[in-house]
Amino acid sequence: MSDSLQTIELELHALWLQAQEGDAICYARALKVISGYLRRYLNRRMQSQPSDVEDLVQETLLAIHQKRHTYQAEQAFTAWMYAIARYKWIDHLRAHGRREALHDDIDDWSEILSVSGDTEAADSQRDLSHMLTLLPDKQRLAIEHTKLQGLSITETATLTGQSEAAVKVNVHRGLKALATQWRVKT
Amino acid sequence: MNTDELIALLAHDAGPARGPTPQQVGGRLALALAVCGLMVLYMGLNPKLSEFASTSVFSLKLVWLFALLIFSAALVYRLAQPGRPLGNAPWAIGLALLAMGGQGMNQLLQVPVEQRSALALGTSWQVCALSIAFVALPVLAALLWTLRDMAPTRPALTGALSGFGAGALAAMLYSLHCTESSFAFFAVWYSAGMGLSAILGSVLGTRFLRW
Repeated sequence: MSDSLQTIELELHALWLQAQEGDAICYARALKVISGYLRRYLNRRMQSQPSDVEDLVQETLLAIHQKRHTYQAEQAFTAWMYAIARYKWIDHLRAHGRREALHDDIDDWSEILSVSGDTEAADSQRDLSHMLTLLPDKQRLAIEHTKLQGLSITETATLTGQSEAAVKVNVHRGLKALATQWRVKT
Repeated sequence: MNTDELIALLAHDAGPARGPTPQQVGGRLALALAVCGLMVLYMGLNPKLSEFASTSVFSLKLVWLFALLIFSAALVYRLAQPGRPLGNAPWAIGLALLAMGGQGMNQLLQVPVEQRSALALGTSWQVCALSIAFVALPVLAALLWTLRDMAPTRPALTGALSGFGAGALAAMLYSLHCTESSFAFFAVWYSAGMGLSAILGSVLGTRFLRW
């Protein structure tokens, strides 16, 4: 990741304070930047429910807006923002059960999604499904089952008739292929 | 709704947000305190209050409760705002409780074995903790009400410390009624009263402090 917390802080703190003076254009820009970081933060944590990410981004933005009186200028803005994001994420987990626990951690995936996170707000899911169709069936099924539908490796293996090792390999290769395509596209 | 549309919508509302004002918070707490005061008056003041009030045990107890109140208030203030570190206040609370526990233990060890239970149980152990938790209710309610307008990211802990602080304040008022004068009693039963209030606060916090 290229942005360190410090650069994010520098970027946002001033912008936020200016926005709180009542400057609507500044505020829209601040929220836009914030939504990018939120999307990245939540994408990385909700790998099995990518369709919920945008909802949660919006919910968090709304919370940031409604609770903005709890931020004080001398505090680190990022600490405040990420504390709210974390709260909303945990609240979401509680409400929807912990499907995350079923997963092998494959870091490549978060990289892909977080790159997508900064660019476009609404359409990330459709692009992803389109790109998935370009993959060989074995890889596409392995990814769809484990990553998009939240099944475990074992469950995926039974469903697709592949061995567990094969599922892991196919997920890994598929993600690599996706990452390459993504870089070509963006 | 698309996220960009939401942002455009929110941007119309730029400018500082209104949180609960100090006047509102103060008003709620004053009202709650008045109710607590009435509750203690209803229980009846200690007839020997003026005698009690001049003892060092009494003032030490009040200092102890006041310290607990300040530490929990500081914690609740920080917990009400996202991303604030808690600082040293949790340790301070622990130390204050330990100090009173140590005093009580010390006192117990200095008397013959057969007098120990009288010292620790006093004459009011059955009602003390419950009374304190009861008197704390209005303050706890006022705190939770105010916290709903803030943004506590740890609802259970925030509720628990609100309950504990409300308990400390209630215990100070309850001191006007209470006729006990041993550290061992305070260490056990006053702490239990604040603890009960903290448990209640934590339960209510998980339910009412979600946002």
